[in-house]
Amino acid sequence: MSDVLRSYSGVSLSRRRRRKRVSRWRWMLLIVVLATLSALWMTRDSHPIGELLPADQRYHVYIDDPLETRLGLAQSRIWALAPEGSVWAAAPERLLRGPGIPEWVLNNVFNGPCHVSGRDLKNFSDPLLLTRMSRIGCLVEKLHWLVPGVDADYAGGLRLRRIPGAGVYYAVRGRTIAVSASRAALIRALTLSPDEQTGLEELTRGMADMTANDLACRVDLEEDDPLGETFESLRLGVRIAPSGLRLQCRTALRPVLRERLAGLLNDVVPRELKNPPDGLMVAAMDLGKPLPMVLAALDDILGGGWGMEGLAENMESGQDAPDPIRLFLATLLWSAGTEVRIIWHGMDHHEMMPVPELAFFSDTDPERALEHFTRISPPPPNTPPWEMVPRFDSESGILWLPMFGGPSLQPMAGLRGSELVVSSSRPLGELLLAQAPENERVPQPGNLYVKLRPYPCAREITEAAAQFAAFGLIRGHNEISFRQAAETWLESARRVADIALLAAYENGEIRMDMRVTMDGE
Amino acid sequence: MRWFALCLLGTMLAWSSAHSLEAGAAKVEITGPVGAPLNGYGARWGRDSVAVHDPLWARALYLDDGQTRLFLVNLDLCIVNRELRDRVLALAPGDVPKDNIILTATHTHSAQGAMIKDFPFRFVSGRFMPEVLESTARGIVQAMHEAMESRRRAAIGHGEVRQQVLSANRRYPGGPIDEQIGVILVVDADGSPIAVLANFAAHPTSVGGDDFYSYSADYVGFYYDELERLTAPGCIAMFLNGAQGNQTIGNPEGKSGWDRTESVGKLLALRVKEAINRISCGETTLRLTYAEPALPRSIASFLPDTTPLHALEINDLLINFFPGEPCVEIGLEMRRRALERGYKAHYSVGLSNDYLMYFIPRKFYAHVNYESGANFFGPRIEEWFYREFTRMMSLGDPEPEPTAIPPAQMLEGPGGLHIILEGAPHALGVQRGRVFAEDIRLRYETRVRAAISDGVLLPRGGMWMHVPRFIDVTPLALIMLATGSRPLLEGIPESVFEEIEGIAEGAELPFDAVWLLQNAAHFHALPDKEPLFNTPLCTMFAAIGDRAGGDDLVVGRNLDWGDIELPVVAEVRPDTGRRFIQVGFTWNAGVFTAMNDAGLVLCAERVPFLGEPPLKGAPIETVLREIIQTESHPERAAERLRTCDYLRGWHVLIAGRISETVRSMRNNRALETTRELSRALVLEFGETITQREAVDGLLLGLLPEAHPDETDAAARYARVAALLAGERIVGRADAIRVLADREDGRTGMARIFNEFTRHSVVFEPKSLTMYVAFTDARGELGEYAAYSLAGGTSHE
Repeated sequence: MSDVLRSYSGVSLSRRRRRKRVSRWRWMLLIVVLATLSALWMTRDSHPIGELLPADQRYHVYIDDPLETRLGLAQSRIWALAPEGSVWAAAPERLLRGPGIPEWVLNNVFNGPCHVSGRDLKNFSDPLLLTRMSRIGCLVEKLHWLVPGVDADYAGGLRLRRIPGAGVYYAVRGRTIAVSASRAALIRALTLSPDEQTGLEELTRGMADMTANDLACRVDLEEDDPLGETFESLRLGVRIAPSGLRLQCRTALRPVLRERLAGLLNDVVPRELKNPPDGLMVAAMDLGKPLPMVLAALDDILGGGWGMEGLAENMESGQDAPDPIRLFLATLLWSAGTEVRIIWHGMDHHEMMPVPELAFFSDTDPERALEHFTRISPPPPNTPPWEMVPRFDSESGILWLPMFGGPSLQPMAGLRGSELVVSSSRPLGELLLAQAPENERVPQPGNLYVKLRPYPCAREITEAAAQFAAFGLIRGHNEISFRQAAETWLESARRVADIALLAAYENGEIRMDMRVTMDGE
Repeated sequence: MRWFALCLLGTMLAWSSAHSLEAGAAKVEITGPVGAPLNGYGARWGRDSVAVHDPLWARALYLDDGQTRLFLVNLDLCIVNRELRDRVLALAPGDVPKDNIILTATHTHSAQGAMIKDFPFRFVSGRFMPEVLESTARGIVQAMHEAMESRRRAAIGHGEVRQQVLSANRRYPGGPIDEQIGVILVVDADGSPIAVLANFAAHPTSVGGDDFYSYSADYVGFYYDELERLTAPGCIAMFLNGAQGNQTIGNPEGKSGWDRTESVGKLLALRVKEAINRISCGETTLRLTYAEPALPRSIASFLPDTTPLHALEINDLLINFFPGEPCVEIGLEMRRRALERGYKAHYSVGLSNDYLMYFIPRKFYAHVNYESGANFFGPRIEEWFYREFTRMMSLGDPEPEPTAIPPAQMLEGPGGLHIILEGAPHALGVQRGRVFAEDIRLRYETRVRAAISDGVLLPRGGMWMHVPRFIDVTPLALIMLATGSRPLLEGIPESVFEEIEGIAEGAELPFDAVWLLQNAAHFHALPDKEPLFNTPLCTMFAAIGDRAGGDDLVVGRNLDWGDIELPVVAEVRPDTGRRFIQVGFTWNAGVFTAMNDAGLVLCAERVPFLGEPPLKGAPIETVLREIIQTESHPERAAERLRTCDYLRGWHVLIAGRISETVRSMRNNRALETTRELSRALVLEFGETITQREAVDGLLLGLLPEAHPDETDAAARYARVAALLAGERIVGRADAIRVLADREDGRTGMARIFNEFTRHSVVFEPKSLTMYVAFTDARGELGEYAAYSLAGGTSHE
């Protein structure tokens, strides 16, 4: 027996151990909390993009979620139009493959809209890319020293990083990463005074452009920039969807040019355009001015030579124009209204030489047009039917001008309700006159609408050119080699259902909306 | 009894043979629809027809002698184009072999076009309308069917009458016409006429004015109506237009418009009726020969390589069917040859089975007019027809095969090629063409075709400048340039003409191609074109008499030429005339540098500031080529050259040996001795022709003091004068030293030997020797090699 007095405290060993563990956990929790707080602090969004964006940048490109956009772009059928073996043809694969950086890193580095801007519009030497990273992206970036190929550049305390392999510099401020090929441009972005920074309004405007597009672009042009003589600014929006591409463009004309084009563009506002009849290529135009005035203004702008003034005088005074073609044209022009539609219907490959079949429509005052038609005096008795003299048949209401070749080379005109119909081809003209007028409108107002179906256009052009090639008249080709060469072109054209462009002008600004719709497969 | 049986059998065989001919004829209207374009005149611009003046017909004759079965179809059309022929043959009755169907057009210029698919031809025939092609072909085939179905026992006879007023030569007033009207009468067993065919040569192009866009068979329509009125009902009047390329209708009754057309048609019918009255029909043997030989090469790439030819023999009558429009001279010559071979009569029928445009006699090739401008098969197309049709004749001996032309002898020559050419001019050309075929074709491609394609040889204005770059106008421009170069053939010596034909044949190129290559330098020198290569700007001089020492005459010459060429020394041993050595290039006929076996030396030098070469008259090198082969005396050579007063911008150095008779007295006796002297002169072709002689025994190609403004030429020749002035006697070595001189401080053409020098030659006419050196690839002058015309030695 031991007489050692043993005393026991109330805390057992297990409790002591537990206490020790609890204490460790507490420390660990503390550390975690502190680390989290530190990470949160380090990755706080302390620098809005606008702070790093110089206000005097000349071009801005906004890309909404580049990584998400990338996948959408890769799936578009538009790349099928790229020539085989070209950089563009390889674009989908490159987009999907990415730059070789793990996807999760990319996802965290490009965690939002991406903005590229710069001042140099000639060589694009100073592009500045700004985007927001996720907190994880920020933290990963802090570990850059673990990654070979990223150098530190103290830069007077600005702490730039350089990736020599890619030829770029970058810096991180808060969750914003700024990347540039130009060290100077990056340093400038990091050292902007508040009044040199881009305001919130400008950024919001750019972001608003971006929301409807995969890529939005704004360019402020100086006069010595490319296109700068014509435009003050240019805003583009591009959306690439699996079924095609949409390109929107807004541009402001320079005041000098606006003045020069005043005769043509003054008082022009977007108008409701009639949908042109079906054709390989169709166009509708309405500037709100009668066609002769439009042409006279164009004549004036281009330095004269069309003699539009003379034509106007002839018609107004009721005198015949000196030569039959001018008289024919003058009659048609002065019968036309403000709105015109043109269609390229097809080709007559069997004419003396392959010729396009074109038709032209315009709203008109039928009585006035008929008056113009009847002003054409009948040819003198015994004039042979083939002589090039305009003729009007009051019974059929058809005005025509005998020219060369067969009917597809015989221009004619007639009235279809309140529409003037003019055709380069007699059979086409007669066919159109027998059809009911179209009343459908182009969905949005504008001043010019053009739509073409590439494949039928390409096919008709190929067939026509093949006739020249058969006689060695196409440089470097005979008929067989030409058809082989054209096959690639036709194949690309076959993939596009149509291309449509709507343009509108108002207050010195031109708005264009172009859609390329791919053929569904 | 046996004799009786044999006689009976013989009679039966004879009967069956004599009466086995069956014939039928029919006509079907084939007038195209009003509104379709008419064929024949580009001036109609493809516009639509507006009316029918008189109907058009397909008139078919079916013949079957038991051995040969054929259709002869006469069409009131402008031409028989390939689309139409192919369609008719596809639809034609199978009872007759396709090769035995002869389609021939009357050539009326007022019949439907619209049947040609190839678009350049549509400028004349109007737009292509498949329905017109189909309905016309079906009409023709229907006529063939009806002719065959109406066949019955028949006999054929032919006769010829003469006329002098119904046709006229439309190209040369008073020029030749075919006075013969050939008539073939086909009668049935009762003697009733089945068909009458008239062969008469004249263009049916008399319709115009208000009826320019109306359908009409022209004078042939009046002929049909009148002849059918004059003969028994049911007789089909047929018409075979002859060698009418340059023939039109006359105006025998002094009428105009339709009256004239009607008058010719009716008078023709009357003359045919007269012939019919004298024709007796009897046993008939038919022999139809068909061939599709390869055509001579053509510069017009759109024309075919082969064409169908028919020759029809009806007893002793031979009819040759031409696939286009032969001029009357060809028809007459063909007839002469046929009659010579034993045929009683011969007819040429144009516009048959194909349309290859006009065929002109070789002698007209240089004269550009409507017919020659549309002759695309070279000058030898005439001979080609004679040869091909002669091969198809059953009478006469077979034509001997042409003698094989031996290949040119090739010898090794330092720095260049030495070839020996022997034979007649054509053979000389063939030899040269064969040896250098590859090189000639290459040069034609680069200097002519590529120069046109790149726009260098195109006019600097007009439509040519507005053609978009993707359009290559070469196929059209080549034809125009070839036609435009034809006047340069005027006055060309026949031997040179033949030689160029031979080169083309040997190199397997069209004649026009070689002629364009020959003149490429000339065209490039025209003011509105960038020169592709220079014409020869040379250096030449002669030392004569005592100044040449014992040689008596030494001529030195460098030829400067912009392009790198394959140098050639051609030793020519022609059948007639003098042997000569020509230093030049692979492709050129004619000479710039040459000496003949009489010691006559000719050297030509282009002097641009004396004027542009004109685009007419034989080029100088072809004239020199003729002179070198035929002359020995320098004065006579100069005299002949002086007749070429159209030449501009050339200096020609002529040197040679002359014999002079010296009279002297010895022992009171008059003695006459002959001594050899040398003579050298330079003819300058500027606005006038001037002649220069040697001064102090020296003669320069150009006098530097006369052209001080021409710095390069003056400097070059001043240097020659200075170098020669230092030599009391100028021998071969001195001449070589001068020719090889590269004066320090000067460059380009101011130097005697310069970067353009291609050959350097020293002539010693007294010993008939010339020393030739060529520039090598590094631009260095090679070793001089001796070539002698004395004896048989070639070069040392």
